[in-house]
Amino acid sequence: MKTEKGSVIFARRWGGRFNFVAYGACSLMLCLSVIDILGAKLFAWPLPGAADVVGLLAVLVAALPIASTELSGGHVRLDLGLVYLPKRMKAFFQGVGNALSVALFVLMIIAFTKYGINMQKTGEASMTVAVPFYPFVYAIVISCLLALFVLILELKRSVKTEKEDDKA
Amino acid sequence: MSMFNAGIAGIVLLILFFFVGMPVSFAFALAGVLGFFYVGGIEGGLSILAIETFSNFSSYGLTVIPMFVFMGSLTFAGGISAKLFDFGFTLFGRIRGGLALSTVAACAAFAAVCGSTAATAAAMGKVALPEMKRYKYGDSIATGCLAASGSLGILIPPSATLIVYAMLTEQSVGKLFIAGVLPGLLLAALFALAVILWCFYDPDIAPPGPATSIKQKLIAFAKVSDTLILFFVVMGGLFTGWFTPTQAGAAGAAGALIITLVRRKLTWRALLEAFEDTIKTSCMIMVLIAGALIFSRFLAVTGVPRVLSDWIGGLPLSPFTIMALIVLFHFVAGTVLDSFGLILLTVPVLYSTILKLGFDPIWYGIIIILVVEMGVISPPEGLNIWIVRGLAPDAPMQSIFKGMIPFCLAILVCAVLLMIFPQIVLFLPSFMSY
Repeated sequence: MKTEKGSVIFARRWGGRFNFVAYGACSLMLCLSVIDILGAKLFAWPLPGAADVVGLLAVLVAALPIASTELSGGHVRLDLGLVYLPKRMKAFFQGVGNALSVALFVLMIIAFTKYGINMQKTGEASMTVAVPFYPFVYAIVISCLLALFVLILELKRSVKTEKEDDKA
Repeated sequence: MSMFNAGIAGIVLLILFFFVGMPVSFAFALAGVLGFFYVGGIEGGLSILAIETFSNFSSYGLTVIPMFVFMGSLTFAGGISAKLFDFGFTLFGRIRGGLALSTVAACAAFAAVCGSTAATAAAMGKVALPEMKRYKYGDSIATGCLAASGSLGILIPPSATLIVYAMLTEQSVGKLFIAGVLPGLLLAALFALAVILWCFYDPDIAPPGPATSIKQKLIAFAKVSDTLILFFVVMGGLFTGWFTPTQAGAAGAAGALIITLVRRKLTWRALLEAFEDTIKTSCMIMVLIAGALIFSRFLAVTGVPRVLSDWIGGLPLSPFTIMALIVLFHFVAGTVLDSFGLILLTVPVLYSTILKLGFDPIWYGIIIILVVEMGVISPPEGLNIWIVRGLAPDAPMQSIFKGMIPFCLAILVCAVLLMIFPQIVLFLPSFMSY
C-alpha cells in the first residue's frame, strides 16, 4: 500500500516536471511564431527556421505530458459496454486493456530508442537551421518510460481489484 | 490470410481494444503496429511506429493544435463568458425566452474563441444557469439550451475536431475552419428558433426579463468588443491567407494573453492552469492523431478502404442515398461513441468512398462533425449533459433529457439543410486562394 502510494507520488512529481518542460516548449513556440509573424508581415523578414523549430518543440508538447495526461484520465476512452459488466469482470477486462497499453509502450520504447540511435549516427537534422532530431526522439523515449511506469501502476491496481473481489 | 482479411482482422482487433477500455489513441497505435508486424515483419512495424509518430509530432501542420488550445484556455481564464452573457442579456433579455437566446448567442461567441465544447458549456453554465433560475425558467429549457449551445464549439472554428479531420484527410485546416463558420451560425440560429418555438407553445417556461437601455447595451458591447475583434482578426487573417493556421493560432493566443493581461485577469495560477490545460489537451489530440494515422496507413496497405468504396460504389443506390445512410449511421453511433473516437474510426474507412462518390471532402467533414455533435447532447454518453447536470444538480434527469429533444431536432434540420444546400458549407472556402 505504502509502496503504491509512493509510486504514484513519484509518477506525479516527474509528470509535473515533464509538464513544466512542455510549458516552456509551448511558450517558446508561441514566442517564435509571433516573432515570425511580426518579422514576415512588418519587415518582410520571416524568422529563419521558425517552422522547423516550432515543429520540433511540438514534439515536446505532444510527448512529455503523456504520463500525466494518463494519470488525470485525459486520454479519450470509448465505452462499449464495459461499465455495465459486473465489477469483477470489468476489473478483468480493464486489466487486459492495461496490459495491452503496457505492451504498446514497451514497443514504443524499443522503436524510439532504435530510431534515436540511428538518427544520432546519421546526424539527421532540420533543413534550415540544422537542429539535430535525436534529442527530441530521446525525449519521447523518456516520456514513454514514465508513461510505462504509470501504466504498470494501473495494471497492478486492476489486478489488485480483481483479487479483492475474488476474496469478497 | 489475404491482405483484405488482415485489414478486417485489424478492425476487429481495434474494436476489442476499445472494449477492454484502452485509450483510443493507444488502441489505434497498437492495432496498427500489430497489423504492420503481420504485413511487414517486426522490424518494419517498429520502424513505422517510430517514423510515423515522430513525423506527426514534429509536423508544422499539427502545431496549430497547441496554439488554438492555448488561445481558448487563456480566454476561459480571462472570464469572458460572463461578459458575453451580459451582452446577450442586454440584447434579448426583455423578450420571452430571452435568457435562453442570450445563452445561445454567448455560447456561439465563446465557442468562436475557445473551441472546446466542454469548456463552453461549463463556463457559460456557471453564468447562465443561476440567471435562468432567478427568472424562473423551466429546468428543461435552461439545461437543454445550455448543453446544446455548448456543443457549438465542435463546429464553430477554432474546433479541435475540425483539426483532427483535417489531419486525417490531409485537407486544409484553414479551409475547414472557414467552412465551419456559416453552418455554425446556421445551427446557432436554429437553436434560437427552437427556443422561440418552445416559448410560443409553452409561454410560462421562459418568462421575459427587464428591459435595458441603449447605454447599457453599448457598455455591455464595449466589454466584449476586444474578444470579438480578436476572433475577426484571427479568422479574417486565415480567410485572406494572411496567416497560416499555426500563425493564426499564435496570433490568437498572443492576443488572448494581451487581453487577459490588460483586464488584470491573468494571475500566475490562471496562467499555469491555462498551460496545464493546453499541454494535456494538445497531448491527447496529437497522440490520437498519431495513433489513428498509423492504423489508417495499415488499412490503406491492406486495401480495405478501396474494396469498401468499390463495393459501396457498386450498390444500386444514388450517391445521395448512400450519403444519407452514412449520416444516419453517424447519427446513431454518435449517441454511444465519443465524437473524436467515431471520427477517427470511420474517416479512414469511409473517406475514399466519399471521394469516389464525388462528394467534396470539406463538405463531408462539416456534415459528419455536425452529426456527431449530437452525441455531445444525447444520452448515455453526452458529455455536455453531465457537465450541465453537475452545474444544476437539482434538475431532474428526465427534464434535462426532455430539454435536449428540440435541439437534437435542430441539429437534424441543419444536417438536412447542409446536405440539400452544400453551398452553405462551400461558399466561404470558395473565396480562399490557398
